[in-house]
Amino acid sequence: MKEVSCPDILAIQAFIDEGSGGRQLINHVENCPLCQQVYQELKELVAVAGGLNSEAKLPGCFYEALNSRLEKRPFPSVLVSVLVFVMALVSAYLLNPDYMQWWLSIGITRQIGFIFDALLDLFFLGRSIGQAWLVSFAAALVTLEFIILNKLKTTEG
Amino acid sequence: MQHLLNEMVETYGDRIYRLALRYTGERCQAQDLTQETFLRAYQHLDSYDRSKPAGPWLFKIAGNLCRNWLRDNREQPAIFSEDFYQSSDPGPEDLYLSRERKKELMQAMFKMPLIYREVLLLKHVGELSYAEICEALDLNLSLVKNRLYRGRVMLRDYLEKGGSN
Repeated sequence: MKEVSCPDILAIQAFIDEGSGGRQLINHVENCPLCQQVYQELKELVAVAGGLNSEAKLPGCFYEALNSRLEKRPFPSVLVSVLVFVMALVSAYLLNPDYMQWWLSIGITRQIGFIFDALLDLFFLGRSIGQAWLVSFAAALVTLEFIILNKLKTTEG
Repeated sequence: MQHLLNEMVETYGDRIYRLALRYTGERCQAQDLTQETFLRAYQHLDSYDRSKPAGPWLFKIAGNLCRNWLRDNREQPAIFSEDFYQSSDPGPEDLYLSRERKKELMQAMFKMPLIYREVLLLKHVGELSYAEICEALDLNLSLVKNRLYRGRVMLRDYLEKGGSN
């Protein structure tokens, strides 16, 4: 008959799996025939389930395949940031040709500063919101720009 | 960043591959899922807490991908694929269990509800500790212990029933 002090079956299982429970549990299992039976049964269950494992290993070409896919991934966010920046510049010029005059008047240091700031902002925005979102955002922006430009052209024309 | 990823592949790559192999039953699919696991990990390295082992985090990603794969390929009889029963490099366990026995074991595993199967696979194929399984599946310890026990009993019962048929 099961004693009051007998450990829970899950505690015995934890002892088999992870060695948890300490000396007290080992002593009890060694001296209690019922717990010994449970222990043996659990050992068999663990052995059966252990057959699920295998010795399969990743093929040697795995690293190369993974690295080639890794190299391809960061590309869109850089490309899209440059495209968004160029598109903003071109559309600003199309909306107001004087914009280029202003751009030339600010000096080379500020020009480089603006370009860097804009590109970095777009790049990190792209990384944080995810590339797919950035591509969708850029596509939506391009479409919107074209619609606005087309409208303005129609209105002015 | 890539150095960290390479370390992760070295430590967990084979185990994640074996897990994926048990879910899909095909080497190519398992390799794809393993690759996707590491690509996703690479993309989200910022959210990984480097003070902890990467295992549970990687197995969580792999488990989600495998579940999605199962959902999308429900009708596919992966269990009958040859890859499922063979490993590229047979070890002592593979030698011990005959091919037929292995087949029965895998069929029994596939009969189990997914909630028990995933705990069993993380324990025996992923070789994770209880705490790591808790983290990988977002479950509490008692639930993991319980599902592991019930899963093992179910596996044995399915095997016994299968053997008697």
